[in-house]
Amino acid sequence: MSPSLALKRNWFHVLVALSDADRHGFDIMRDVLEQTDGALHLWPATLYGTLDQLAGAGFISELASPEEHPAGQSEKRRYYRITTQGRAALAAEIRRLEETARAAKLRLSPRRAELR
Amino acid sequence: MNESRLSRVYRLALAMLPRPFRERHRAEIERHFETLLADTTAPYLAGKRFLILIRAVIDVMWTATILRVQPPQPEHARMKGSLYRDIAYALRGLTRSPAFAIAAVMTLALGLGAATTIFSVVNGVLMRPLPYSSPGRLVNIWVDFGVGGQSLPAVSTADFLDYKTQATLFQDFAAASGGGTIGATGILTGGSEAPEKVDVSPVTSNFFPLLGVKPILGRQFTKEEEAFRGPRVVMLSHELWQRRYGGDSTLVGRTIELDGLSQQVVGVLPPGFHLLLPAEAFLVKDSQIWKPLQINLAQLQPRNYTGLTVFGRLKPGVTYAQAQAEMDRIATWLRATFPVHAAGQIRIRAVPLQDDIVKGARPALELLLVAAVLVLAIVCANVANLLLTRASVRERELAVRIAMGASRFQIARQLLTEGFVLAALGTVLGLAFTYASIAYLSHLQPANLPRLSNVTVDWRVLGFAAAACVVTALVFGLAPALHGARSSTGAVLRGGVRVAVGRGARLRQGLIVGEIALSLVLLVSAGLLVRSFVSLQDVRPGFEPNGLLTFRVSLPFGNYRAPDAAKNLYESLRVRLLAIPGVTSVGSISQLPLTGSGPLSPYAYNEVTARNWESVTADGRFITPDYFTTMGTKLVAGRTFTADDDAKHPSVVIIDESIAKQAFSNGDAVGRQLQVGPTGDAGAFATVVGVVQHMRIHDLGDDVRGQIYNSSYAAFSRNFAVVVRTDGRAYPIAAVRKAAAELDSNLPVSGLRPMRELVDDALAPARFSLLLMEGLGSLALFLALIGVYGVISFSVAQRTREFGVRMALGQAPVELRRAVVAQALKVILPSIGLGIVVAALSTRFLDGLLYGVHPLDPATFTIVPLGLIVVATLACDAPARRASRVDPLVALREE
Repeated sequence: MSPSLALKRNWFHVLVALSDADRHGFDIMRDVLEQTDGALHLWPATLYGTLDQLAGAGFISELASPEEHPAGQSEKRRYYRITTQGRAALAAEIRRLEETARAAKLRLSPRRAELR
Repeated sequence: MNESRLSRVYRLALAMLPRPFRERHRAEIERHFETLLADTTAPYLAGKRFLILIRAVIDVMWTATILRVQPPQPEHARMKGSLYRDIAYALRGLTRSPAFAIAAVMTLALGLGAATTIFSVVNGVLMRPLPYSSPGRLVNIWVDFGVGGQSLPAVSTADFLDYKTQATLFQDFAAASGGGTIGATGILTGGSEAPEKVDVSPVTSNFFPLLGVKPILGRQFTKEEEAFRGPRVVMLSHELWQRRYGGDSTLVGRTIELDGLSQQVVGVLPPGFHLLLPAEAFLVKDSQIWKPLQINLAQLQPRNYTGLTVFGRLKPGVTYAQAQAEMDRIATWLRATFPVHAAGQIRIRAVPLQDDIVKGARPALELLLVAAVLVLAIVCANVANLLLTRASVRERELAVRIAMGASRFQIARQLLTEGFVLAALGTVLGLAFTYASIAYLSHLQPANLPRLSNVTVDWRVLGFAAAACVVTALVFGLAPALHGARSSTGAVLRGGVRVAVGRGARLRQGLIVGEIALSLVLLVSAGLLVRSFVSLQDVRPGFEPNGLLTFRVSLPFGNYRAPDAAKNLYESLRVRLLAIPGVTSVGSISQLPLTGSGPLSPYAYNEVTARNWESVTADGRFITPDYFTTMGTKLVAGRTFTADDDAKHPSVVIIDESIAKQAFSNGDAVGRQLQVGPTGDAGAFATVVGVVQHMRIHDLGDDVRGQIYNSSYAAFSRNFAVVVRTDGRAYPIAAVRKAAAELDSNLPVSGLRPMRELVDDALAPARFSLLLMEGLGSLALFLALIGVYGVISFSVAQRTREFGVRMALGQAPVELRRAVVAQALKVILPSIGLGIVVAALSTRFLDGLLYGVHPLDPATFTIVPLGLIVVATLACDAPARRASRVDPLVALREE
């Protein structure tokens, strides 16, 4: 996997959601809604499909035993946690976005004419 | 749909997901969906939840497609862009052959649009609940009198009061009355506005609460206001309040002048409130003014005087069967307690109000829905044919893909996806078509079809469209998909395109047979309805509507108080009307034909009917001597009334042929006595002085009741209708208005219109179903012809080489052309035969809708099939001619 490849939008936002806390599916959906100001609604089947894919890619893992669940939370829900690999991929994506943004900004700025 | 039902639908949708995924996530996905529903906030709760369901189901379909196309892979990069692959592939394929795509999508749009339109009418008229609170618990009370007696939605006051005390399963009963004997009308006067005739309905104080209708201004009537000769209070319809009083909110509490008496306004009903009633409802109407029904409890009318329309509201959880059982018990008690009910063998029926209102429209609409589904089946056959044709052309492409390692399942799935994409496009276009047709239909406004304004595209209609889309996609997509998956690689790759010709041809021909047969069934049905409509138009209703002008007059009580005032006014009006050039005759009647049920007049002609008073009734009307002449109604025997047939002379009646035949079957009716009042009453008998032709005054297609006419001069009402016979060159509408205004500038003249228009209105429901059926029939014909044309064209194109060889061997072009047509006829003729059989078996369901035509009408069953054979043969002629013009050299070089 090359870090220069863009992460899919759904993947990116799910990873961002899991970067500060372990969450269950509905919680992830709500967080993604918040992150994107309501622009990205992950409907149930898509959400769990995405979670499967992320787990398959090794970016997140499911919390196996009840002890691992955050305190006071329902045990019946399945919780997900971001893996080291996931954090790396997210960091790489953030870097890539920053690079892209910087490159774009450069073009916009007045110095562009001189550079040419 | 409530929450649990939405969840159930969603759970069903989850079945689309691949099993391993589903088993892993099912519980959580379901819980997730339920939380989404639970988190919804008002307003539009139901609508929002339904939208959530739709989006969640689309999400499931989407995910199911993705998971099947591309099972989860570790390399996330490879997933990129694959989401749309299947659909994108299908769309690309369609843009590559735009002619095919346009033909298929348009065909689907027509079929789905037609079906959705019909469904939206069925939905609006039959299925949408009445605009009252908990309308499912409302029943209308019908009373039946003995074997062969009357059945009417009308109850006597005493019985009504007994229902209220005896019934335990009903929350309550409420009643409305027609008021006087001749409709319930009053004259509004006062203020700067002109006097105006309005409909007035007295109702019990619990009437609007029972329906769940709350006044937008003021209050309901109170129990105290039901007292006999109690307070004079009224409620106004929203329309009257807006129009006459400019929506003045201070009107409540003030008084208005009705029939010269001041009445206090206590409330205004909400906009859009309509009293929905079955067509048989007696006198009560959707009035502009409502007042409390003030019953004289000290002196109740006899129990066989049925003047009330009674609604009941069931207690929650009570079934219609239980309610009926209770009414049966009450009827038993009534029979045991009151001799008049024992004699009348009274039965009471509690009919669900909604069923009662729409029962007249139901048969035609259900027929149309069936027809629409048949059209949809033809559409499916057509599109399946198009797809099959395409599949055989693409057989090589598919064979190559199989050889390259695509599984047969993948091929079938791809073909099915194409089907879904086509159906989805067709549905979207079809919905546009539906919106347009609904606008057109409501513009037609068939007067007697109830609740047409309710016809809109709501969630039920959208659900129907979505379901129709999925079902059609499966039906027309399945055959080609299975066929495609069966492709035998070796044969196709070795043999080139020609091998494909034989394959699928049988299936295509089968589809064409079905298509032609179905369209024949539809065309025969449409043909029968056309014949029926024509004979309905030709009905001699017992009067000559052409050249007849009608209007109604209601004289305000205040200015026409004297006993002879109404009669004198009519006489001077008549003289003035006769002076108008072109007017040949003028007459008057208490109620015009085809303007509602009107008052009934019980009669008796032997011991049994005398004992069971009111078991036989006729339409009772008051007329002036010139009425029959003006209407063009034939006097069969005796004489018409004269000016001397007034209250000072012995009571006389004119009866129609049907009563003459029933009552005096053994001879001449003229001069005989007819009992027109209960035994023992003064004036119970009247002398028959004349017999006239029967008039169809309720339903042009049906003799409903006999008619008994009394002389207007015996009791001239302040409400009457005038009929004016003209020489037919032009209706002197302005001159009639002028004549009335000259007599009394305040004379309320209303409903000035030709009798022809009343007749046309009565034909409107028949015209409406005919129009829709004709539309569906032509659509079916059009589609079937396209189908025939397509199949024959394709087969000619595939056989180009064969034709080339045959021509090279010396066969004449004419013979080739004939051979192609003969081949087509081999398909067409058996289809027609099949169609005739199916039509013959199914047209008897039309029986109730037909007038004057037998369901197996030989003319229709001959002309329609012959016509279809001719046009189907013509449809093959173009491809046949193409076959005969094949250039042998070109055809042979092609290989």
